[in-house]
Amino acid sequence: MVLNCCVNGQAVWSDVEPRLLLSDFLRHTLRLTGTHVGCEMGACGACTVIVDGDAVRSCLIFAAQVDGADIRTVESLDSNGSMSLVQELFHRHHALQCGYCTSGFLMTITAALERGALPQSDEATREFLSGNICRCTGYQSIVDAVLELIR
Amino acid sequence: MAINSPLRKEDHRLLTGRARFTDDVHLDRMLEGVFIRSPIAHALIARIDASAAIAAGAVLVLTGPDLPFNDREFLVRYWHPSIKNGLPPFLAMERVRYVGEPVAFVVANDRYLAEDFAALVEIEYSALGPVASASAAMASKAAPLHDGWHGNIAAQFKHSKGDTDAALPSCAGRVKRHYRYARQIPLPLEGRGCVANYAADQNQLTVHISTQSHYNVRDNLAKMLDLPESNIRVIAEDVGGGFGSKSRTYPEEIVVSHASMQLGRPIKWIEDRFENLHATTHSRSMDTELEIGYDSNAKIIALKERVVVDIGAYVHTSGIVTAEIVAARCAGPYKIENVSVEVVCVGTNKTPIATYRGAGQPEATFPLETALDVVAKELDISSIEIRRRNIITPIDMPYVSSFDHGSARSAFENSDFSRMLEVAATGTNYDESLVINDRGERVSWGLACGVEASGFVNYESAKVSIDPSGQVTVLSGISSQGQGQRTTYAQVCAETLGVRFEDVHVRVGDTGLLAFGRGGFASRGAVLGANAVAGASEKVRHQVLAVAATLLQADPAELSICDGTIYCNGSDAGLSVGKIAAAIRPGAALYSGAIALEAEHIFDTKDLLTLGLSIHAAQVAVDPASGFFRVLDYRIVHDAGRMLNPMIVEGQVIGGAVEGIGSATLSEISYDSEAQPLDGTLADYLVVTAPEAPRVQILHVDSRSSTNPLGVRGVGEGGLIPVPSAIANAISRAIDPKAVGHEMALSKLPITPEMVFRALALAQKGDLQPPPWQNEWPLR
Amino acid sequence: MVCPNALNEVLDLLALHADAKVLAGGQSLVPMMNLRLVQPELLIDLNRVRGLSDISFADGELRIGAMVRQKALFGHPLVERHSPLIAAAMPHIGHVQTRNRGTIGGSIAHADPAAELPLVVAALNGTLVVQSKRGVRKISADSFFVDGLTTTLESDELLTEIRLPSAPVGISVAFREFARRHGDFAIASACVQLSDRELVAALGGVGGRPHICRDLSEAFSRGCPGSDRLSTLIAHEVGLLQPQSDLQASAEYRRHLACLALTKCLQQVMS
Repeated sequence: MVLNCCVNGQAVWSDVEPRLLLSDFLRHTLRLTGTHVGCEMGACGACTVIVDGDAVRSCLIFAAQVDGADIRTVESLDSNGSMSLVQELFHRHHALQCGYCTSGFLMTITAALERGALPQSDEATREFLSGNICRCTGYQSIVDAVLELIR
Repeated sequence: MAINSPLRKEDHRLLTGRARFTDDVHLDRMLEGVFIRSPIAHALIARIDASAAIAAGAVLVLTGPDLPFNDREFLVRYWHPSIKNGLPPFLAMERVRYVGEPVAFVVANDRYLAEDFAALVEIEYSALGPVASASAAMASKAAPLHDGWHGNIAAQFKHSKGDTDAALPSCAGRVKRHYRYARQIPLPLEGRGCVANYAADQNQLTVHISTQSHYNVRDNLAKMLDLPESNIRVIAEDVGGGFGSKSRTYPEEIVVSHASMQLGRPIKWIEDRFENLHATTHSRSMDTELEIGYDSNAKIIALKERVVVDIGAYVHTSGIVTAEIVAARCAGPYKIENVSVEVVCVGTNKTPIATYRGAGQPEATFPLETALDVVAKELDISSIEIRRRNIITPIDMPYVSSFDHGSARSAFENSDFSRMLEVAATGTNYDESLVINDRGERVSWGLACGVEASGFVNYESAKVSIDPSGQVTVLSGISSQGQGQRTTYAQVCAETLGVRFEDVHVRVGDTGLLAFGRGGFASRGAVLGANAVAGASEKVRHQVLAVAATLLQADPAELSICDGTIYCNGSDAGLSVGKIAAAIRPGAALYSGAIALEAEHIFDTKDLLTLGLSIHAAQVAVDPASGFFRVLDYRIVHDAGRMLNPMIVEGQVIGGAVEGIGSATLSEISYDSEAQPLDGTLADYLVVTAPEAPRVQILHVDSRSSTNPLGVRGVGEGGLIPVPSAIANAISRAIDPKAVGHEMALSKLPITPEMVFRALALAQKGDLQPPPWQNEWPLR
Repeated sequence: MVCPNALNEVLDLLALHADAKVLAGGQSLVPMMNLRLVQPELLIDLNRVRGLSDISFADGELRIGAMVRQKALFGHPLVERHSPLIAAAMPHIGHVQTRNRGTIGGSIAHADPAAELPLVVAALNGTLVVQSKRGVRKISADSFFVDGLTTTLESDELLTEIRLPSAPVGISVAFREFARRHGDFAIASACVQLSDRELVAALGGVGGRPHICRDLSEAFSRGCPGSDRLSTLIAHEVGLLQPQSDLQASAEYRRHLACLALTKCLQQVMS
């Protein structure tokens, strides 16, 4: 199936098999390996990317479905060697250890930031992040990064 | 050494999506394979027919009989002498023994096709009776899973000190309890996987693999595939968590590498989450019967334990290490004269168990720390007091640990546990009252101590070198899954050598860096890895000063290095380490026949473990109507020895504590009576997400460990070890601060709201019916 | 896979292909496909079909297109005004990412016994508008939900709209759920809507389909019961349940939680 979309600001054309998942298209066809796969069933959030402004699980979307869509992955966040504010705050707060879940968190937070929909308290932030599993940090430093972002 | 928390060198590439985890590796002409795994817990393999798969286009299908190395055994480590065989095969031969056991490997051009072809392989099983529990396994009618496993006992041993049988009857009081620690899994977010690439023209095998033990993988590959070690390079560049699930060689990497050799092309295998839940080693899975005898002064006189470990269908390559450690650490940080612990490892038709953060220490701590609170209640003294009267104090130190495992030894040294108890009692918000809040919840604190033994598995290597630009390169035999070694080792090197942190570049996780190493597991990164870096840095420092002394016609004692510049008697001598490196290489002015500024060091603890204590205080709120509870507050008094990077230490401890909360309240791998797993996905096996995690605060009580030059203590696992008992003790107190008996409904982990509800009912009715699961208590 | 733009194309395809599956938000279907538990011959992507994503108010009914994303329900003025019970349920439903994609129609048609939207729609006895080449059916929620993951939807039919009676002004609503973690499906849940005239209540997670508390509503229609009578009525409703025992909870505990959830909802609306 023919796919014309925009990925990280660049036009992409591809012919994809109907059953190719968006996560696999990004990672193995486009070689944008910053998005990671943790469960293939929408439970862990590692594969979160932004499609038409919304944070969504790329393992639950078929590549063929994003014809005409605007897709952003973690690779779109930094530019000219500088990290985005969200990335900087993660760095400062030690909000990552192994880094496998990190892109999922970054895209979830970035989507909300861009929509002006960030949570406003510790408790609300934790609920906001409930769709992303981290096995290393215990979430505290990630919450702190978001709380600083809000300020 | 200055305590310092520079931000991590690792972060930039991880944050910008430029890391290279195993599935990110793409090689020319790479194929991809999937494993076909047994869907049945116990069966003979009657027939395998791959012809339809091959006809449809599968590039290769391998089954057990196809492998040329079946007669060779895995290299094992810490193999307890009582183990009676039971290593897993590479691919099942004739018989499968657990759901998830690998039976065949199917290779295709991509993963989707490989799964299509795998579905075409016909495998006929003829079912054998599955053994689904330890008690069923030990029953006389159960057939042994392996030759030599009489009564399905794969291994058993005893430790004792003093005479518990003589001491117990004369105690003023005795408490006897049963505990169960459910089967749980490490669940790293990145599953296992490897890309094996055999280049026939050079007889060279390169394997990218998500592992914690890259050297062990290399050595096993060399043995099975008949390749010299030096022709194999194992790379664990970025690993998305391990937590003990990846600290061994599995059959899969051997099979995938063999397939690559056979086809002469790179082959990738990446496990999916279902495989990670069933084919990656499990852990915990222990039943403990514990009896404590005490005198009227609250002194613990005797501790007697029997631990039954449901180890699953095979003994994996790290032996029965968690069984050994649960025995080694059974007395915690207490002085107890009479201790006996008997451990029985029983086989069942379930996934084999192995290590998982804590590796036997949480299993040892939960029964002990929970029972201590019962003793305290019986004596009407506080939880702090019972521990105060029994904990090892500075006067007792060094207090040699009564038991250890294998050739390891340890002693409690250079720490002040009494002071830590005081800090827990007065420096946190811990108290032993019960408060009803305005939501009607019952709010209480609970406390528990946990001992972390770190620096296990002797030897780690490091090499430090300086190039003419002044950049310092550190190579380490360690591997990383996010513990920040590339940052911490740069700090250690910079401080020891006298160069800038920014100028030190650390490389880990690659057997091509150094001929010898071990890897990142068992909380050894600081004790072993960092000390190796310090040793190598010190050697290079001497080399630099020796050359500088010659150049400056000075005494080395007058020289120092700061920010990479040589200072003579405090003034800038106009020499940099880079210039020295340039001056001594072959062809340069000061070449003296030696390799340029470079030194290796292997740090050797001679099997001496480092022990560290943490004391945890958990505040919980229990809803008496439903049994649902929340963890409101969590404090940890922690002795990390010297902290090389406090930010990273805190990250480890907090991460461990939150993991512990999951272990205590959410996570359980369940099987049905046919040994079929009931947890298929992450919707069934639950782990903590952000709303369930409390904010954790740490009070550091530093000491200097005498076991290693840097004075560090490992911190990778201690954050988890006492958590379940702190929470169980808090819930028990919230239900009833004084009464004894209801806590028996909380003696199984994970503690669910339904169990708390039952405990509330018990406390009300005073009806001490044992919880239903205790009917499954294994037979003697 | 096909991605039609018009409803009649979808209906044509459904009529022709008995084995086809429709793809809405994908949050329930795609996991099953990834696990290879479901392997449809044909997948019909509904995400480009026009006319299924409107929210409107007409003839005293709130009408929500089946493809309305769950996140669009959050804070929507018409939803808040006409169906505050849906608004009350929203924070309990899944996570940010699943609400961004998941649809109300998908949740209703999937009919998970522990899901929040089917519970609310059942409680309010909403109407499910279902279309096929054979015509349009309007099915009451009561008839629509048969059992766990089973509805009366035929293989050639598509759920196109969910209609809920507009809530009278001045009602109070409550939604309570017991779940192991935030966003998980409920172990037991309850929802209640109380107006001058009537009380509607339903229990979820305690059987194959939502349990409508008819006897409780009936008692309220004859005058607000006192607290003793109320306890008896709650116990009676819970006693009608046949909850299952599973990894999350025993049947007995589920009953207890259902009782508690309903009690708390009633306390909230009556205070």
